[in-house]
Amino acid sequence: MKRLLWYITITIFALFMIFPLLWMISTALKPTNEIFSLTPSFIPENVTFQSFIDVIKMESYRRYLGNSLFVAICSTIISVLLSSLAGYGFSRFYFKGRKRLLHIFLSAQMIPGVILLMPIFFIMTNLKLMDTYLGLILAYVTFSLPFSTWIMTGFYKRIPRELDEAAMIDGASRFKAFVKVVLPLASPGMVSTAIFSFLVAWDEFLFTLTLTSSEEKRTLPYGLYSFMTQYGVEWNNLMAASIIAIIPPLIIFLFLHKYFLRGFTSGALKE
Amino acid sequence: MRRRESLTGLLFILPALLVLCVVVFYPLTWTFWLSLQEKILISPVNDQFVGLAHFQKIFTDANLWKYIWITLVFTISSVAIKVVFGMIGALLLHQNYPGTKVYWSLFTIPWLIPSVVAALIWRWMLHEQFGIINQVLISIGVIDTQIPWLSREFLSLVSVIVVDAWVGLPFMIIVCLAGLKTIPEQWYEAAKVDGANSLQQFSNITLPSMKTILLVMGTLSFIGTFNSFNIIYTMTGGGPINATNTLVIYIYRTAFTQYNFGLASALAVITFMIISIIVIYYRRLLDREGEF
Repeated sequence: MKRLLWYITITIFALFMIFPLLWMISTALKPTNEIFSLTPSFIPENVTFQSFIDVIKMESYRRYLGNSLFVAICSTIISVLLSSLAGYGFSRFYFKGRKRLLHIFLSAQMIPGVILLMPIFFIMTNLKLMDTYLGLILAYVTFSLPFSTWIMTGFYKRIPRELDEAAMIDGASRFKAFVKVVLPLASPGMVSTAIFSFLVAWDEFLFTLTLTSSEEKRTLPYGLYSFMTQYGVEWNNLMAASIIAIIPPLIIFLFLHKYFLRGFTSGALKE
Repeated sequence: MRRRESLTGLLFILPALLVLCVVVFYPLTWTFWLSLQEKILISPVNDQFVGLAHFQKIFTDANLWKYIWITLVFTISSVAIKVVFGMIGALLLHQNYPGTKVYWSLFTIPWLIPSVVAALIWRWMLHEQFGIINQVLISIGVIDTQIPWLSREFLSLVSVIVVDAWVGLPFMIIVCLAGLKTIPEQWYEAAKVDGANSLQQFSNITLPSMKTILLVMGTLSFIGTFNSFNIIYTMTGGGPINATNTLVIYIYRTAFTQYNFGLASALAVITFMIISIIVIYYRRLLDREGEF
């Protein structure tokens, strides 16, 4: 009895969570005349992959996809690099004001991007970084850096300091001990950080909206948004485009979900 | 020697700090400076220092209070849904029945959806004429005419709240579940021996153990939701008739549709103040509950 009640409740809950996605898939598999039907069916009457073909054939869509991948991958690499270094600094050296500095790092994560938008618009204009990949990458790195640094600091703390000290007694420099001994042990942390940074960049919308002016540099969220605002949007194509946009995060999740949880919950829970 | 050690430490932190300075801390001070300027991008001849004039204008403008109110209604409702249903979802998943793993995946998959995509899906579902939600409601007889979800003031606010909660729920469930798993099973067994029913177990063991996590996640979620831009902008753009014009959307529109950077910066400063109060509360919370 208790079990039956559990199955009913959790199924209703799961339906609320998953139904929008099922509807997205259903829409993407329908031909256009079925989309604009007043009595839509949940299962498409004529399943077709035409909308996927149409979307992939669009040059602009392929460009948005490529831009998103490029910008997300670059900002992920930089973010992992910088946070691996900074996290090591925070976890190993007890200099004055260390805690305060870590707090300042973390508060940077809580400042809404829109507050910084106007000055960043000027800065990017002055540095001639408007409508460039570099401008976007620089902005995206910053959005993931504070939390990434925190994740990394947590991971380093679990690696005994005696290990680096032993390596240094054996004659390695501080930096060499870091690269050769500590970094390999912290690699699960780097994977978590990378996942987080990638997802942040993949999701970002406000800054691509502001910092890109030409279609050439737009990323996927802006691209999808601009498809929607066009007159006479074809929802089956838009849903197909959306499904393709979910594939990269989905792949990451399927292969690396172990790291996902470890990194994210270690940020939110006591280590 | 100690000095050198400190310097090495700082050297590791320096690159990250530099980036944060260029893209966060330096612009932040600039926002404060801009808030004291008259700066309209399309008419640069009028640029001048105006002191607190923008703030004076904002605080005597009834619209600001309306937008702050909208922001608070949006944020508090969405966070409440996320915390309550996040906890319920986690409790449901914290069972050993067959199939729990499958449900876990179903609950977490929406987490991977980029927020703009989530907003697009829901916009399509809420479509007045061809949207599935109206179709279903009509076919089961709840309503007899199509509801224009996104072009009525109150309904559009409700819609963006539900969608924002839907997007944020998976992460809340995951963290709550991780929290539930840290509660020792023996506590429940001991309570059962003492004859406590499930409700008593929940209010005497589960809830007190989860208090810190719920408070921390609630606060973090509050900050995140307060800053929410993507979903609202994609679904309604702040409309209809400014019904979903939260502070963040309002700042963006002031800056990039009216090009009034001075006024937008003044609004940004006010938003920053509000966020700072919450962040200070959050820090206190962490200090009180021990290093977290």
